[in-house]
Amino acid sequence: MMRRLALLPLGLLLAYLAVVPLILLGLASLKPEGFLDDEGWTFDNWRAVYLGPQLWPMLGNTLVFALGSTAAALLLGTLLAWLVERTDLPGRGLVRVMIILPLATPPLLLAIAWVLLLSPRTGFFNFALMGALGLDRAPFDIFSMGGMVFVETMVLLPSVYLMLAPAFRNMDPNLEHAAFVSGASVWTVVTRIVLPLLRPAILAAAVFMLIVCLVVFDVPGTIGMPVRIFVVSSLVYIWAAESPTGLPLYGRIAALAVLFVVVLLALALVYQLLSLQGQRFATISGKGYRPRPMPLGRWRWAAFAGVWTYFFLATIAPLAVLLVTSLLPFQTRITWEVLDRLTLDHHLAFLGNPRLLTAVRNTAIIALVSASLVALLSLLVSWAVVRSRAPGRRIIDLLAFLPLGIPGVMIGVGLITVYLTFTWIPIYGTIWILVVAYVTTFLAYGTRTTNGVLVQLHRDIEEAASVAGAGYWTVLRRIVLPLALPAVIAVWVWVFAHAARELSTALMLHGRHNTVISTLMWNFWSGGDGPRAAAVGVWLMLALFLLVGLWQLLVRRQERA
Amino acid sequence: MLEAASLTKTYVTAQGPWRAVDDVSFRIEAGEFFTLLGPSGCGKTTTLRSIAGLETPDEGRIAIGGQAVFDARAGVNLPANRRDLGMVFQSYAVWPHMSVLRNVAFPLEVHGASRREAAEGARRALDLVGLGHLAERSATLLSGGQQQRVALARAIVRPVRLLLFDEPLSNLDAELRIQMRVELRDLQRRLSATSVYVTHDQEEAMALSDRIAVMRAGRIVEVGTPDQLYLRPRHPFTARFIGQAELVPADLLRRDGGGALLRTRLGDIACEWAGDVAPGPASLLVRPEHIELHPPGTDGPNTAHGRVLSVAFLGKLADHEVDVAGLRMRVQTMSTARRAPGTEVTLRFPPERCVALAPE
Ligand SMILES: Nc1ncnc2c1ncn2[C@@H]1O[C@H](COP(=O)(O)OP(=O)(O)O)[C@@H](O)[C@H]1O
Ligand SMILES: [Mg+2]
Repeated sequence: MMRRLALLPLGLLLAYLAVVPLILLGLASLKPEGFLDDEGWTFDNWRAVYLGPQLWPMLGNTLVFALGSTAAALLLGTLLAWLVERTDLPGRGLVRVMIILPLATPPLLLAIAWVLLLSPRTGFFNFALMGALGLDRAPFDIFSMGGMVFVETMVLLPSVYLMLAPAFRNMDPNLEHAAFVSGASVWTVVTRIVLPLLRPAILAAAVFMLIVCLVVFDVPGTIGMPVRIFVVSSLVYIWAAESPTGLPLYGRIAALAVLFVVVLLALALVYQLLSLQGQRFATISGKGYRPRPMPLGRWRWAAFAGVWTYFFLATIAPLAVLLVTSLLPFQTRITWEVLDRLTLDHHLAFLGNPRLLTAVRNTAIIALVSASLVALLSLLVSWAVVRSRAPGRRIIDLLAFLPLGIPGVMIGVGLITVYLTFTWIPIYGTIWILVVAYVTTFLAYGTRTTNGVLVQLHRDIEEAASVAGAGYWTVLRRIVLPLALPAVIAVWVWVFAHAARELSTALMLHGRHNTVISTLMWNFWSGGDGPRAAAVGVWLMLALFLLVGLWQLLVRRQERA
Repeated sequence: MLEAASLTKTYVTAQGPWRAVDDVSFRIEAGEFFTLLGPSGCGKTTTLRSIAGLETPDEGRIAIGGQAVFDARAGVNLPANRRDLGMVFQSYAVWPHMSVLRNVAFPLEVHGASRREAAEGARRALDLVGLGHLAERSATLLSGGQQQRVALARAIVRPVRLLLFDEPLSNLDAELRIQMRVELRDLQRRLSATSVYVTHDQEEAMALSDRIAVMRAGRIVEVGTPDQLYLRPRHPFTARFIGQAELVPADLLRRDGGGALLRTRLGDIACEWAGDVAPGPASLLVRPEHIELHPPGTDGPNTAHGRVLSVAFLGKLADHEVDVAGLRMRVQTMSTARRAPGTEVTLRFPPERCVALAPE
């Protein structure tokens, strides 16, 4: 009985977070200005969006960008996971640690860094190559669809790796060995046994990446917008922040959002189904020690070089160029002469600027609170979903999962509508509306992780505690929480890092009192002040590296114990 | 057919180097069923996987049919897919994304058979293991025993030089295990396939094998037919590991012919067989079912006086615990001939069933 009662408020909370914004979004699209208290109903917004000239080129760009980045990240990420988990690649342990660094790199910063490296007018690599090869034109132009796909691939690759590495790790190596002994070549083993076995996991990763790419703003906003390559998120941004009338076109945004929410929710359901299928194939080997890695032979060092090229491109080069840029007196091409005039001014200004300090404080509070709320809610939701037998538990799971298909930008718009309507909850324009947005968006990720752990926890473990006389909350606190703690901490760190770096939602919900580091960086950067953006970025990256590094240390210590 | 010489494999673990296989050598004749038997962790799987080419020994040589497939000195190491083997894994390793038929057809396909030929061959193999009716079934929908048969069919679908088995029956329930044991033996005989089999179950090894190599801690203790290992072991470890054994501390007085004379607390015992043991400290092996119980006062060589302490009724057999000169010995008789606790008895140790071994 207790359990059922506990489910009800949880369900209501989730419904409030996920469903209310969607409904209000739909309604707002039928209002002239996109506000619920507007007079009358109209289809003008729908007509303007779906019959207007901007939609089709934008859809084409969005698809090319999303499919291209997903395909490239999938290919390279799968390869990387296989190399690290299944072969005798040199230095695999270090790769496992290093892969976390790009994950802690905000996509906005990566995009900015690559503009600094590959811009046709000032890009450092471009000029280095022109000098070295005697070219009279820059060989690369980052401001292109190719550039967007390239940077987004770098952004997604660690996520693909993290999603697929466990699948590779859990696959019974004897499945490969059986094929090998049968006389199959390495190529046949990979194409006919390994890849088909991992197909559900790979497809699930593909759908997940696609969802992310369809709505991401950081990279298309930084690289595509200046040359008018618009994708859905940048179009939404333009309508919100740079509309010709000066007023945000919320009505149009809402009308566009409806299409995307439908598509993405469908994708999200596909993802959910594929993940379930993946579990059906899971074949855990009975042995504790690691199986023999596949010898790469003469490819060993080529693979090694490839992996480190990736780290160079994804972390080392971007961090270096950001660092140097942050020390430049003003935004300019990086040359030997400029290096003499490096200055710490921007970093020092950082300490003296009250706006910056407010942004840091806001970011810290938002990230802390969001991470803690998501971690707590994920555990409660998963426990309810995995353990209780109450009839509503499937609905709860679905509600927690829905926001995966609702882009942050659109949750942002939805929340604006919600809190401009429900004015008795006075959080519009404050940091708390961002907390609500992040909790909603990131809960989907959190519950997927905690569900996975609680499913593996044998029911007997809890029942033994119940039989011993422990009540509902005691079981949760003394048994479930300690066993699920590593996963809960992982969720916390992940949400913290993502909340600290999230840009698109923050831009949507931007008011006078909730500036965060990412929006500040965006403002510096789009205002043409690269060095200041870089100075802030370097410190943000450093803080995130530190957090993630500390967490990894903790994980490793625990694994050893 | 198969020759393994001085195989050694050391693993580097967190606790330092670990010698999993230590100077292992053996020869197997064509058509022979050869078993590696030993407790868990003694290096059986590592040895088998070295033969398969799935593990690379640090030292030694492996030749199959006269061809060196591995030779550490000469730098020969033929990869697993070119050794022409069939293998059955402990976890079955049936590919869950393929049908039963495609699983079994796979080795034929990768050896260049057309899809149709491969399917025909696979059907024949499935019929051999009695799974013909399940060919189209998805491999994930099979019971453990059925998956076992699929793995077996996949191993024998091509005529290979050597069949390798890594504890293939250990995940089955007891009844099925005995049934599969019989079928496996039949099949191997029919195909007269040279086989190397790994198990920790001594009964299984005895039932299946032409010859058994007993392993302990990475080394082969001794090799012999099931008969030899049971009745005439050379090493006390073998005696304990195979069957039930009563080992009594003894002094070896002299060896004569194949046998020996032992001095024990039970008196002097003549043994018609002696293992690897020199005069001096030794032990007497006699199996509980070989000890005879006679009425008290029966005299003769190789006898001792004792008193029954307790009896366990096992159905067909009865287990007695007998106190003999302060030693507690197990004696097994038909249950129709069992004695009540407290009964005085004379024990006789038939010389042809007594074995002199090194001390434990
Ligand atoms: N890849 C490995 N890394 C470290 N130790 C191993 C590895 N494979 C096997 N061992 C160790 O080597 C010993 C022999 O293993 P194995 O051949 O599997 O034994 P068995 O099959 O007889 O049970 C065991 O102690 C095992 O823990
Ligand atoms: Mg083994």
